[in-house]
Amino acid sequence: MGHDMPHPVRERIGGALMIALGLTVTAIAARYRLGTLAVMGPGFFPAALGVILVFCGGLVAIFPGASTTSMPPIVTEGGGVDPRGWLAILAGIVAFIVVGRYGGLMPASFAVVAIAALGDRSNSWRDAVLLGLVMTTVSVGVFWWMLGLQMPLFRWG
Amino acid sequence: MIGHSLADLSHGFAVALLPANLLWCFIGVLVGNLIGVLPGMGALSAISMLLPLTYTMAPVPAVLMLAGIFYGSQYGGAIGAILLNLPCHPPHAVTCIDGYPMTLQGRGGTALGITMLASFFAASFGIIVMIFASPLLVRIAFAFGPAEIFSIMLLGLVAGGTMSRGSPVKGVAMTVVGLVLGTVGTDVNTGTERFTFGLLPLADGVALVALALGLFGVADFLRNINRIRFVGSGAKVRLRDMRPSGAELRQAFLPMLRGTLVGTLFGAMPGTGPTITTFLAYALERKLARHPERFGQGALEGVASPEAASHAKIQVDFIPTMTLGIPGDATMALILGALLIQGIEPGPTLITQHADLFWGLIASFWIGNVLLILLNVPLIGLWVWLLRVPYRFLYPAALLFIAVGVYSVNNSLFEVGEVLVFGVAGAIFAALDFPIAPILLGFVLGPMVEANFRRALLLSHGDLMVFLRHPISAVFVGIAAALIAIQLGLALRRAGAPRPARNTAPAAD
Amino acid sequence: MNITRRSLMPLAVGAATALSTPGLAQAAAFPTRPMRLVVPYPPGGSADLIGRMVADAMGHSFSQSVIVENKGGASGAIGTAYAAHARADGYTFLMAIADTLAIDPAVFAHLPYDPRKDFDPISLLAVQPFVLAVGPAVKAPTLAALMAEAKTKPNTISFASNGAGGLQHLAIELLAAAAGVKLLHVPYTGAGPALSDVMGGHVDGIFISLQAGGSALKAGKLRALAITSQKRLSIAPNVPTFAELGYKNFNVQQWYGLVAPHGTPAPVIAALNARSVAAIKSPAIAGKLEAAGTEPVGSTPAAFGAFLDKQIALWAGVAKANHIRIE
Repeated sequence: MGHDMPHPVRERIGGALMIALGLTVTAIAARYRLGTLAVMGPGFFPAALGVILVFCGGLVAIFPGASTTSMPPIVTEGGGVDPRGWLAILAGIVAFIVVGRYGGLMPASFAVVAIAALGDRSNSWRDAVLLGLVMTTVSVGVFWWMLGLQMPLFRWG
Repeated sequence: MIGHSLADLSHGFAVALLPANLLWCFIGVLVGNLIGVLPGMGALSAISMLLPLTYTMAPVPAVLMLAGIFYGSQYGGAIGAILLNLPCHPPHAVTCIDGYPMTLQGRGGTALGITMLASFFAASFGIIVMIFASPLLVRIAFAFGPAEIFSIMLLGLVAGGTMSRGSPVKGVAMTVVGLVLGTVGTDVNTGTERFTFGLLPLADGVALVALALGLFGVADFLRNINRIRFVGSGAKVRLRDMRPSGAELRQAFLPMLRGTLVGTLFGAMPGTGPTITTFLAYALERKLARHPERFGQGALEGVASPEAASHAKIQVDFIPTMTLGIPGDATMALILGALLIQGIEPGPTLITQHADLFWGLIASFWIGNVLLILLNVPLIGLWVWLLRVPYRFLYPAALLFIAVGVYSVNNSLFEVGEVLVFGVAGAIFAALDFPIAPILLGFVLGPMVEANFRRALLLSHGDLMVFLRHPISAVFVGIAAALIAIQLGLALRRAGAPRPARNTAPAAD
Repeated sequence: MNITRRSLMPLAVGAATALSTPGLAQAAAFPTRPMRLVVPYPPGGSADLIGRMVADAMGHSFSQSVIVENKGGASGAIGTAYAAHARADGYTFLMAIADTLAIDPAVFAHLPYDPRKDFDPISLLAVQPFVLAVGPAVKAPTLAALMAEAKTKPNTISFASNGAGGLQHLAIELLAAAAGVKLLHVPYTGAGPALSDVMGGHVDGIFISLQAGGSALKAGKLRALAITSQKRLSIAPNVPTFAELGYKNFNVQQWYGLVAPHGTPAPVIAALNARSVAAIKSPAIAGKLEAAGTEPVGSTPAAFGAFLDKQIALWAGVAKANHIRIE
């Protein structure tokens, strides 16, 4: 994804996202009490924030040029979605939560590492399983044994 | 008075240098340092997990070890931020902004060296303040009521909202997103639950660690997977690089001093966490810089100042905790708990009644910081090795540490789920060229801003002038107003001038 | 004020030797594996400290470890609900306090547990009185003078609390109702920042335990006007009780007790009761609690149940009279 010039489409999407976020926040906040200045209700502050967000989003979307500066971007030039990578990383975290809830620390550690590792095209199944086993050992040794993490190694149901 | 303190201090050194105490201090620093490097594991989770171990230890070694874990992990966190671009703990998210570019430029060693120097300098300053000026500092802290805290936090928001590279409008938008995230949870004044969607774990708000590691850790993995092969490709970290040159020292000295002062002030104020401190130190440095555009490109000041601030803060944090029994943040609350279970009651009498403990602890701060430096000479090899771990192995391993680290703060799997959400959100924001760091700034400052604003108005019966009637508050409000005026003026001038050509970005693999 | 401090005995050893309760024959098969005590707060607070001391001593007397599991969040509601839905076999029990079992049911519209239907009482371990303390901004020498001032200036005398709908907040409302005045409630997130603003003179007063406020009182940064205990405390002999000052039934106390998920077999409850009562009454633990201004109790399950009913009724009344309801 090029950074050489402000990308009007990208800016429009970004602005629209901010406007949508702002409207949602304001709509939800309006359901809480707004209150008075002396006794401010819980809705006052978030509602005001939502309005500011809409305003910022408008500026970004309408004046794409004005929202860039002379500063070049650095470091990560990532960008678009790498489907395999995204799927593996997100599935890995979900697996940690689900397996951690029903299976315990040991299977959960293996699941997150092995599943996430499969997202990299240069990792084979064997690499993923091996890395999973190594990291599970580290996880059990460091977190459970040394630090006394409050999560059972195995859990049944 | 001073002579008396010096005599006490030498007694403290005698206590801290007892072999058993020295050993526990060393163990604390070592464990803290190693745990601190793991993403997601900061002082808070390390101490809460190891606290029960200390219940059966004698008081002095127990406290020395906990304190060692505290500043050891603080230092460890900086290593991960600088070398791997992983904010191992939220306060260091700001260190990534300039620390990691330094690594890419092959100056990772210098960044580490400056961090070490800054932390030692700041810690020493904090210790001296603890010895000689704690009554004064406590008086200053008490002068900060709701109106003053609101104004200083507002100034922080104004200074920090535009602190990242890129468009100021986008910076402000992301700050506001952070502020909105900060309102999630139980409203302090009324107890109403906001934006919790009926989910009980959200009643305490979004978890800071989950937010930071989602936005900076997981979002980065999502963007980099299958794109880079090594995090620090081309980066070299050598022991001799760690000694900064004279020019670098001169460059880093004032930022270090300013960071230390920020950390010292905030250390005395209960409720201001370390993340607020480091972000404000960074924002201040960027505002004062003659060439703010260097920030985000590997500016030494951007590493020196926040790291000094975080170390000064954790040292000074001990003052209200030990002398008044008021913990400054969650980590200090744990240390307070450790003192209580040892039968030691914090308070003004602690210094006289437990002279061994108090002066031993102070002396151990110094000894611990020296140990930290010595320790990192052999450990540098390990950190260099970390840079060579292929990305395809690094990110799954880091993901595990993040998951376990986030879980360990509250033993909550729900918070691991939050990491997932913020990881995706962070990747989307970054793809749309929105800066990420202001989200965290808004998130940590937002609740303080709102709560103290409402509190001040509650106490003044709705009179807005309260923020100008209190002199300290008026000064901060004035500076904030001036900053906004300058920013507007610059924007107008820039609108008139032709836009300069962009430089090319430093190569990143 | 004079707060004595006892020297510390290594906890585990002291508590273990102090326990000589004979094993209960009817519960011979219990426990056969480690038990866990759910503390619905992060480590370091009073509930955690008391829980850990008792768990440690119970573990020694049972010869099976009692693991403390910290399950914090939502002012204790998460951990409490978690324990409510645990298997009722005696291997899981909960540290309960006034907020989670007596106040929250009165204040919160939606609570994921029922304090009486979801739990069986084991024992009331300890009660902790609160002192009404004022900061340097307050000139009134006595509680009567402060309340007289509040009467002439309604909504001006300010009181800090650790959060809306908590024990400290309800104590303020109860005092205002009893004195017939209007006080200004200023909520904080947690007792630390609240205490700090009272000591700085930004807020006038606070209800605080001696555990949390003792050092500030000794430093002279706070002044205690009254204490909610029935009798004056030996560690604070100069502080009058609310009863002495004419406030009858001003029964504002934090308390700590053990409960088990509903349906736990009676013999198992009896075993847990015997071990926990012995633990809390052991000199090592009782001495430490008393030194910090907390009174060890150690009641029967039935007495704790009756106590719970009275507490629930008390706070339901206060919440209703003052329209404190959190959606």
